[in-house]
Amino acid sequence: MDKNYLIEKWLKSELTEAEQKAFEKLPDYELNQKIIEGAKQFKAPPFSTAEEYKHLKKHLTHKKKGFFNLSPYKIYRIAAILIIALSGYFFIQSKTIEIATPPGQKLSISLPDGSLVVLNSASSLKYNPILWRLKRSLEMEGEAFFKVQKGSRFDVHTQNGIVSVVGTQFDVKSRNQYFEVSCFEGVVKVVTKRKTEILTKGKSIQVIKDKVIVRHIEKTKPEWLEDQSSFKSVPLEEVIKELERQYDVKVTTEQVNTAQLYTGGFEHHNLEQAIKAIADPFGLKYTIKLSQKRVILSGR
Amino acid sequence: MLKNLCVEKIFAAVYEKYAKDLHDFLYYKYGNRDDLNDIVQESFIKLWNLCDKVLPEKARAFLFKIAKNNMLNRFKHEKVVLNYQKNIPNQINHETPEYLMEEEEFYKKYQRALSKLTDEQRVAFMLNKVEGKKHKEIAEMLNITQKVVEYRIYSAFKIIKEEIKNL
Repeated sequence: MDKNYLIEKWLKSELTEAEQKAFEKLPDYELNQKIIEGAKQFKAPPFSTAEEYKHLKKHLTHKKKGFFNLSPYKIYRIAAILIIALSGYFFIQSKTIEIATPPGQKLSISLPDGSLVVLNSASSLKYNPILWRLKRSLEMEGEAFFKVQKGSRFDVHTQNGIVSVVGTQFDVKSRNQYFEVSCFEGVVKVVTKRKTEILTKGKSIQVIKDKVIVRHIEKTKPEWLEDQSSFKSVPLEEVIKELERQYDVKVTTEQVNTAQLYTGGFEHHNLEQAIKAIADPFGLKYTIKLSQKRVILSGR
Repeated sequence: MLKNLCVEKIFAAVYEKYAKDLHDFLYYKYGNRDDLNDIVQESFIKLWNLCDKVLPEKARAFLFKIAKNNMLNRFKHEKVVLNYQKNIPNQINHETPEYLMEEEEFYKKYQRALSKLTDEQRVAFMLNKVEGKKHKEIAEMLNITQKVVEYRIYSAFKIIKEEIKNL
């Protein structure tokens, strides 16, 4: 007879006499018995029904039709509604999308309303596609170019300020103490701690540390979209940082005044040319260590 | 007059009938916890508060459901641990240290095995083999068929045996 069959019947206490004899002859017989016996050592702690009921009685009071008459069921219903509402809220919040670019890479993103965002290197953006239909609002860090579809207000939140637009093309650069917004089409409102500025087509606002400069710009879109970086009277240290982001390298300077202002640009496809474009105007010497992803600029 | 849970005598009888079973069920399902008695109490309090809305025949199902929900709110996903009596009956004092150690090992493995069972397997197995409840009773308590009860007990047994045989 099959061992498992016997065990099954034994567990059900349905063994016939013959089956019982066969069961006792199984090699595991002693172990089988021991397991059932052993279970008893794990018995639940004693429960004294009489004692416990005495305890319980103290808590049983008859429902008084009175002042605070919320029956438990009503409370459960209210709690249930709150829980569903909160779950819905958390569920929607959890659908937030966050996108980031590493150094040396750019990325184009299409938003639910058809607006376009292009992220520059080492930048990130965060938005909630579910809430997008109600409110076009996103958070951004780094640099991005926006092409906004006509519609409701479109907000870009950065650490340095908020940029609000309606149907327009603009660039927002928010890197630590460097904040720059350029408007290429339409109207852009920029709100920073220091001031609020309305930019029309061809205008840009630059806030470096606390210095605010509003300028005219000729270009119709940012250079970095075409893999070039361009600067106008920007401190050298900011230029160097952008080089680091585009090429994913670390630049160390020796005896260089990085507060000097730089006007010019570099491309994103040739590291040596890019470094020359920065170093030459200041007469700096450079050393490139590609394997270590390091560049040294020295002023000697 | 209809039999009504709001009548104390009837409520007390329901308590007498189900309190221990509910307690044991919770113990075997969720393991050793300080709040088991509290949960049993709370379940009955809730039943009392709704005594005019719950029929006596539905009381058992109600109590078990309330207790499970209550537990789910408190339950941290820890392994379920049942305790065993550490004193393997002291009448046998002349056992050798080796024997005592083997027994200890056996129970340790057993405890691990019980933790590895699903709640359902463990509850069915323990209620049947330790509390002596018939398959039919267990089926009613848990609102499942007898066949399912048999299957869970069988599975539990196999798993425990497997674990004990392993080194």
